[in-house]
Amino acid sequence: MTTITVMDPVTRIEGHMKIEIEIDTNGGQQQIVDAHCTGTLFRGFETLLNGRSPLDAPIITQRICGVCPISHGQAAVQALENVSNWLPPANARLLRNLTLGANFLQSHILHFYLLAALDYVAGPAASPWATAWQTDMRSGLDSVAANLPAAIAARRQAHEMGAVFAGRMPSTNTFIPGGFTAIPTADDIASYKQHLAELTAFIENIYLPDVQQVGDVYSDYFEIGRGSGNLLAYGAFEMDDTNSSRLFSGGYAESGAANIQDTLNTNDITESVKYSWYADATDNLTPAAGETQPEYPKEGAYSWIKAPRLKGKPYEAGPLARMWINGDYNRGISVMDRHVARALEAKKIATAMVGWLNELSPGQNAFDDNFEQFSGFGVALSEAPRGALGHWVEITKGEISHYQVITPTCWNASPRDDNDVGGPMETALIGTPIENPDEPVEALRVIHAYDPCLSCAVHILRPDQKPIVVHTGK
Amino acid sequence: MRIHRRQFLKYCIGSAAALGLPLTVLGKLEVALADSTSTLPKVIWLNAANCTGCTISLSNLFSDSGPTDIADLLFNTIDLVFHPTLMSAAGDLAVQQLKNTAEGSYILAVEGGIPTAFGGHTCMLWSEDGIDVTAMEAVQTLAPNAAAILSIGTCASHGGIPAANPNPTGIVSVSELTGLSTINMPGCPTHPDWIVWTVAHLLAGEVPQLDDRSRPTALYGTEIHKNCPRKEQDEAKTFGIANKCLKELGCKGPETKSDCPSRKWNNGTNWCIGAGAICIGCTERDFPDKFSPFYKLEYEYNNFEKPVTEDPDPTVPDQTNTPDPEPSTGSLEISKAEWNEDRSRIETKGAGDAGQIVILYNRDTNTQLGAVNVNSRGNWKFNQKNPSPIPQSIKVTSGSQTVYGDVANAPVSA
Repeated sequence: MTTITVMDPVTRIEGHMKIEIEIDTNGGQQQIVDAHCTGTLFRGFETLLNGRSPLDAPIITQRICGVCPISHGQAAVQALENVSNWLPPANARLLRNLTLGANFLQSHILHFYLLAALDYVAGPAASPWATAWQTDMRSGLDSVAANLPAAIAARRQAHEMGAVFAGRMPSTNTFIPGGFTAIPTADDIASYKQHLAELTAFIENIYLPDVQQVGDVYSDYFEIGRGSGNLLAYGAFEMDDTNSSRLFSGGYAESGAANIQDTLNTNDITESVKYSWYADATDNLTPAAGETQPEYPKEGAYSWIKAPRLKGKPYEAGPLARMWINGDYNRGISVMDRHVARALEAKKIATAMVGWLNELSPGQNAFDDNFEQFSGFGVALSEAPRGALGHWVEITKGEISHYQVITPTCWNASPRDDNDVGGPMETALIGTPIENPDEPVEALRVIHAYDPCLSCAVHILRPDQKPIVVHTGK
Repeated sequence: MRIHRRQFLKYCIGSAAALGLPLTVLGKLEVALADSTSTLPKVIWLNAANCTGCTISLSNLFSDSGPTDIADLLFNTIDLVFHPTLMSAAGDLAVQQLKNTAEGSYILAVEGGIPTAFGGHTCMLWSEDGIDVTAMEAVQTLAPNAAAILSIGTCASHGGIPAANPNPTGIVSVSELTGLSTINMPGCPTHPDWIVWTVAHLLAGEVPQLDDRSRPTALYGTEIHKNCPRKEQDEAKTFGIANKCLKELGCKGPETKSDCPSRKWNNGTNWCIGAGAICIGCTERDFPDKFSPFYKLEYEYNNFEKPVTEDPDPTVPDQTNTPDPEPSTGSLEISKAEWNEDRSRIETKGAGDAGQIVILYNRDTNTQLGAVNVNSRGNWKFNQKNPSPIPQSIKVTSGSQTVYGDVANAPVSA
């Protein structure tokens, strides 16, 4: 018999989410046979940017998400500079990279230890961890649980490191078109370097081995949750002042192909709204032309997340996609591969950060007052810790006349598209074995591996249709 | 659950100076915490229309004595029964925990403003028996019985950025929604010390003195500018100059109250003005609209006007299938169109009618590259980094005119 289970709230994610899964026995195994993912918060950031000064965009858009504000700050500032075809001075590029890098490290550590690990190991005997599902909690990972306080300290230290230049974390006012407000001193650089050395030791000696250990005990999760199999990265971390190379290049790989397409045309990106509460007339528009015309209720629709597609296909964004596109990882596409790739990426970024620190010119200005802000179109393709992030801006007579954000969680948690193909997370859930439908921890493992950030999914609301449901935990 | 109150007391004594705790509070706290028979109020933390930035900021808590950080705070000090970002439980198990707690004594902490448009349905916190519970309903239910209500951050205190004009989801603050008194701890994000300072007062049975915006005066009593180490310095005319006053660039320090200049952020590492950035006024009630535009930098925007586009008709195929018109003979010209390999960009310029909009297309794909205005001297210029694909030829239109040009040095794609 089919049971439909609603998990609401999905906890240990950034933002608000609900999933509805259908569980049935297939080939003798109880498993998920259908899934719908829904975000449950909508704030309308694109609307409230209209008519504002373009220079406000980095400040306002950082409040889309408190876990990855720096990525939004970086994308906003780059989109504004792109309008004028401006490239920032070397110190600004480096200070932005170092701030963004510090936030990637805090986000990855936060994700593994505080958001994801509790699906695999029992948490400490204190609220908010004391009450938890007991299904399929395997032994042998006590040392991972014991590292939680150290991980919390390392995450905090990553933000202290970022604040050395950025003034304050999680959000900063140092990112402005034309450069970066701070001037790095030799003392700042030394202090940052000390933090980075300690964090690198944490990543190498604790984080990576812990991920490895979880992977050993739950090795079946190397075969679970493949998802769409298509991988997309926009790329991030500029390596030179002409913007000709980045630590992570952009590109895409269809169906996990070894053959990486490194030319990404944003005109190949469209947003399907067949199953989203938007007017069908706005179906399949490119981001630059993107319109948000709510239509609620709408027959068949179940989400306020639009379904972004590249050449009509769903793509997964995130650390696994970035590492795959750049040839750093190719073991496979699964729940556990996402964790391993994320940890390896933390190490790769920390290593690159040493280079950026050494490139900094102490005492030298990072803001060029020759910067001129023009009206026109600008686009920035960058990366948040959880995947590809794009900002599109149009400035008319000194005001923002159009702003569009496509976040990584829109890619990963998208609903079905015009071809009735589900988003990566929905697809990944299907086929996942479920031991106890009242405690579907396996579904949480699949969801958390994507590190979803539902505040980031800018267009979202909720379905109103209520199926007959069997609630979890009854 | 057993709570290690001694550690919290030790923390408050050890950090009394840094936290600004008065001795009277410390004394009462000592008495309260020494009474091992009493149970401390549990904490329910709701995420309304938030970004989780205040939770992340709380996670940056650090001190030399216990609770040394967020882990110590959660292990040994407070009983944070419900916090969706942190808790292990999910689904009905999480909701059940909340319901059990709501029957006893608890502190309600709310992060994020409360949307009221669409019946509050833009922010759904959980569901019960298939019915979605909105943040509006949850706060209305839980607030009246709470021992204290903490509005964490500017959104819960005053609406914040999601409530900025035109307030798309009708957000109100917790006290506006409930009509109840809240202790507001604004800040975008708020400071972890401000939360701990306030909790310490509550545990000692003290209600801190609040200002007319329900902020603790001890934390939000003085304008930032009055305590700013740069206030005597010359006023900077541009960014990137060390140790100048940033007032002329838009710094909101003169209008914003908080103890940021002495407390600083991230374990005393730095603060906004310390990094040469302006204060954006994030602890104030009317943030952000009162302070937006944030910067006083003035740019001469070119007089680009938004191209008038007709609403796309999905039943009509786009222009991709329309044959290109014959080149026009008129003022519109392309004088340069070439690929600059060193700078990895296409560089174009030409002439046209002053003030008119020029729209550039990749002729190979018939996709838009961008648009510029013709300046008063009748010239236009358009460069673009890393166009993808790199155009072999371009189409340029302005009004009814269309011209074409081949891109010199464009690499031939494989």
